[in-house]
Amino acid sequence: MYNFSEDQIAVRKMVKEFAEKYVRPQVKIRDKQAQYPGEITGILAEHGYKGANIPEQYGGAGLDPVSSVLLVNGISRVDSSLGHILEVNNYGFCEPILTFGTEEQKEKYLPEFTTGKSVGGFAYTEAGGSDPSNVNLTAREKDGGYVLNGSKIMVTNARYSDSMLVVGRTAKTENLFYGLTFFIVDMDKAGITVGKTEDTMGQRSIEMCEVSFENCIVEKDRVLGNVNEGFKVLMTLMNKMRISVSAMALGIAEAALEEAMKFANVPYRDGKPLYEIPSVKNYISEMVSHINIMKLLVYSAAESIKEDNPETRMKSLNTKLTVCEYAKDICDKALQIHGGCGFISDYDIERLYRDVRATTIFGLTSERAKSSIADMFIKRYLENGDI
Amino acid sequence: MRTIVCIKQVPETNEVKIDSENNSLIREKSNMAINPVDMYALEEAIQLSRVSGGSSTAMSMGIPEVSELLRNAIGLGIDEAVLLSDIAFAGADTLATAYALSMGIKKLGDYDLIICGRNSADGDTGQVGPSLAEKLGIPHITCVNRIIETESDYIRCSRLSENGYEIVEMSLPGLITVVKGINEPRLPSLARMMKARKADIPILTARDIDADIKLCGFTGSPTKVVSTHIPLKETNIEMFTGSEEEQAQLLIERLNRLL
Repeated sequence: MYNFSEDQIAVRKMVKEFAEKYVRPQVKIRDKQAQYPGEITGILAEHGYKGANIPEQYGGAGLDPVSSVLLVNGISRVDSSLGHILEVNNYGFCEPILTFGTEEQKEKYLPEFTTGKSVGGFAYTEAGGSDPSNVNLTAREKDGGYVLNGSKIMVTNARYSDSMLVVGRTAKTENLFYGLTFFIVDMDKAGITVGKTEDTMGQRSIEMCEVSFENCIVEKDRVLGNVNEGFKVLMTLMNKMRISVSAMALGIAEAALEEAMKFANVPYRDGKPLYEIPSVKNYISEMVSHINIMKLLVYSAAESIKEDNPETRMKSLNTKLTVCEYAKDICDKALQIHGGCGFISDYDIERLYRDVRATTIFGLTSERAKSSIADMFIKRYLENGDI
Repeated sequence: MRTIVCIKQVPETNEVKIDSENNSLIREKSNMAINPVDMYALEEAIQLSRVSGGSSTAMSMGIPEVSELLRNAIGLGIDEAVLLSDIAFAGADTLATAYALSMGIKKLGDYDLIICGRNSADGDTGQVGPSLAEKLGIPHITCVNRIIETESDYIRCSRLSENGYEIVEMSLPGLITVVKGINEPRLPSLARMMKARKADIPILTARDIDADIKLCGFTGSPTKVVSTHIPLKETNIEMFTGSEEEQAQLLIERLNRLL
């Protein structure tokens, strides 16, 4: 459906081979034991998958935006936990440093988080949810640096991150979107505590933890972007993360369709395959149609979203909402095709069904996406009547 | 150490098409892959050049689209690649292929070691490597399953034989053919592959390599393929009926007949 370039087709093929060779073999064990894929993150670095969206001069592969999300998609198709870990490193850590970092910050951090063994994290969500106005972690200026106090929850890669981006509040005004500041925080600093690993329902290998900061001192040169203007960094980052989460959801949905077809292709009653049953056919047609729509949305959004403005924000919200909800529905239908077998963990669809649930929640819940889309649309409509 | 790896394009699937005129395989752009055992040859060259600090070159003979496979070789870590492509090379048997490759290699200049896969997945003759060595007047070792030691003027290898393995030493420059399992071929890195996609792959014609066209391609091939066919896969399934005892009895009778 989407017209990929030859380079993008080559990347897709490479990622598929990589995922089958290095990711597939232990995926069930990692899921069962909630094991962080530490070994594979090293192999990801060796093969240039970490920070693949970063230019070569900083150690990345310099992939175009579509190829970069194809990477997350291809890995997530086999193991969305790893897709998630990669996504956070590439879009939640490396890309904001590339876009908003100083030359010194780029040179210090990007090579290590692309070709090196380090993994980056992104600490944003707090107890009240993922909302800019809800950022209560304080960053108080002191002696030429900042003192961080507060807690972040549901931080992916938390225990294995060498550094992470932390959103803190440096000023409290009536406009709660003002006063946010991004910090690049090295995790070996005094005053940082990583809490217990959450026992998650799906994507069980992501090492999601609470991270607490108590009088944690961060140097001034670790401020990313301008002080108090972190909202701009956040929106730019979130626009891209929503697309990469959508690419992850698409990967899970594609895997679910594949599993459903494998199951439906086996002779059932009277030696006929399951897919000949009209209700199964009906499910298959819906799944295929939705996946085609999802592909168009994800890859065209990846191609066009470069900066934050109302139009790109709307596009990323539309994509995240539609693709992730479709993916959830596709996994549900694929499991239904499996009948009772879908309820058994020996079948991959059982894992996919659990994994996909993260996608309509993480980054932005579907409900908040709907609310933002409605607000933006109504505002635009009232201003110029444009639909 | 300068290493040259000769690789061949083979159909990626078993669904091959055959040219009815000369009974050879039709090689199209789609569904082409590097001959599987050549992947081991490439990996060995990459590892050698990393250890010895030398360079590696991949060479192939074929239609211009084979450049894509050579790009893949660069993506894996080979330093440069050259394609021999000319209508005069078409329809070559193993001897004409070895001749063209030898002329191409002479054109490249000095080298220390040539590595080939033991055989190809399609033709499966295993002749090109040794023939190439003979054309170049250098020694060769076939079926190498381990390189034990290399210096600037010799190589010591383990080679598979019918009764086990042999340790063989050979002076360089020389040629080895390698078998599957000599190493674990890597997958390309994204950064390398992106560079490889922009890499310039020189295409050399028969004239460029000073080849005698009477010795190239179909004209230069003393062997002719008389016929080629795709093996028919026939699966005859016979269903036994009757009670379990009767079916078991039928099975025993059938097995006895085969013994």
